[in-house]
Amino acid sequence: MVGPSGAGKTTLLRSCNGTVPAAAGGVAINGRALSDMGERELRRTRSELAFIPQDLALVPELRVVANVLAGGFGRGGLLTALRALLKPRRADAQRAFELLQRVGVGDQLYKRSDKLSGGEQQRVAVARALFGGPRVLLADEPVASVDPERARDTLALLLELAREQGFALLVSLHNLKLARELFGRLLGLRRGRLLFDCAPEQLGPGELAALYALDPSEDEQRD
Amino acid sequence: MSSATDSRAGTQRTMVGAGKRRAVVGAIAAAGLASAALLSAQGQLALPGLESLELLARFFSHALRPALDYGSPFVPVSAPPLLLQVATATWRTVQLAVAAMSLALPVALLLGFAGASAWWRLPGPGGRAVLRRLGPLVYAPARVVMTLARSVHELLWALLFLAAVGLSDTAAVLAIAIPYAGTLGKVFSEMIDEAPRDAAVQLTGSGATAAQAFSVALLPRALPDMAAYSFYRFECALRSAAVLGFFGPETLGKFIRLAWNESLYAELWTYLYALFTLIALSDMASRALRQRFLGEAPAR
Repeated sequence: MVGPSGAGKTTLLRSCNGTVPAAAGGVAINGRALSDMGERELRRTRSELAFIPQDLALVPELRVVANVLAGGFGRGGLLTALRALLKPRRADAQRAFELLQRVGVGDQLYKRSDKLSGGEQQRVAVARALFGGPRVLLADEPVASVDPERARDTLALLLELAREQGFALLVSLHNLKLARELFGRLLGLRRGRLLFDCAPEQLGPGELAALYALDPSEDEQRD
Repeated sequence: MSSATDSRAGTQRTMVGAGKRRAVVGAIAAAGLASAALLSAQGQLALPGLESLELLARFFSHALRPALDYGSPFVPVSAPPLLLQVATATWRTVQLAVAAMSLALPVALLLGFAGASAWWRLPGPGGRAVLRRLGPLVYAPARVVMTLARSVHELLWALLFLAAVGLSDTAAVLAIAIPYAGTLGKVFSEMIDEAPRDAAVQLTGSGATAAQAFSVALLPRALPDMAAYSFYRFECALRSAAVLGFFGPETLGKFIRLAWNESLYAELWTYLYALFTLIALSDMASRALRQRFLGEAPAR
């Protein structure tokens, strides 16, 4: 999903799991509208939708293992949460470790999350998303704050995981070049509207110009 | 054209800023002048008399030579050595403060959770409707109880108990514990409500209940501040326990009052230094504990 700042990428992603209600239209999953779901059903649905926000939203005071286990809270109760906080089950810790190892930060399992570098924290957020065994992974600007070389690695990792674990991946991106290079389907968003939905090969210069053109009416509004 | 508009708007903004600043400084200056006028009208600004200056001089002249033994000839033979007396009084002060805090803390935690709005206003499924209805019914009474408890100062509570049953140690502990529970609870509830909610919102977005998000993503963020504030209140409790000695309990305050009444300034300073050492030690202990258990950076 590409588009200029303010196009509504984050809003669209957040309305996919219902944390932002859709102002118009609606979100349906397997034919069921989110707005029709009761609390129990909404919770079950959400537990299969992993979301990685741009600021990651880890709990910095907690150990990495607790943050990763938080990805699986949708399937447990308060007790599950308290155990994750105080004394994680051996099997859970083992799984968290394997996921962290898969994303390249296995040795950080018991560190405090805010002691990790930005890139490492991002990988922890990916592991947290994977821990719930999602069917859809929504990632908001996952490479906004990393250098270009690492950006490619991170996106490649997400794509690889999606193929490996069989979940759908919806990513919002600023970097059009990376988006065209790595992804099979592009959605162009501008001022809250869908401009195009096609494979990167089908994308012509006209569409791109329309996506990023400076709109004179916008400039007037800004004044 | 547009840049001209911009710069004009900018100038206007700075002018508004300067006007506001001038108003604030003016108001502070006016308040200062008003209070000076009020005090001098009551004769408070008059210089202290020679007699009170002499008293102050005698008091401070002993600062560098606190007593290590009794100075007065009228000490009963049965009295313990002065330093033992100081140590005992210090220990009693600590006991009183610890007893008061161990009563106040659990009550404050309960009141603090009940008086926070985060646990029932947090978005997310999981008994949300029930919580929304129940929340205000718990929240409002908790806030009222906290306000009632802390609106009366511990010295006033002590006077009340003194009038009613005499100030026993138990009464002194209660006199401190009641307002402290109110103050701690109020601050706890605000720390919980002000903790960043991004992680809590993120968790509920992937299926966590409000209770899960509250206990994992909100409480741990407030906990270091809550611990730091509790340690600070413990320090306040030490001082309050010392002062309540003025009304009877055998804490440092009692002996400070006796020494003052009999103009035994050297002994007075010994007790003051004991109090100072106590506060400094509690500060060091709190810092060490927080570093050990909350992983806080040493430089804070």
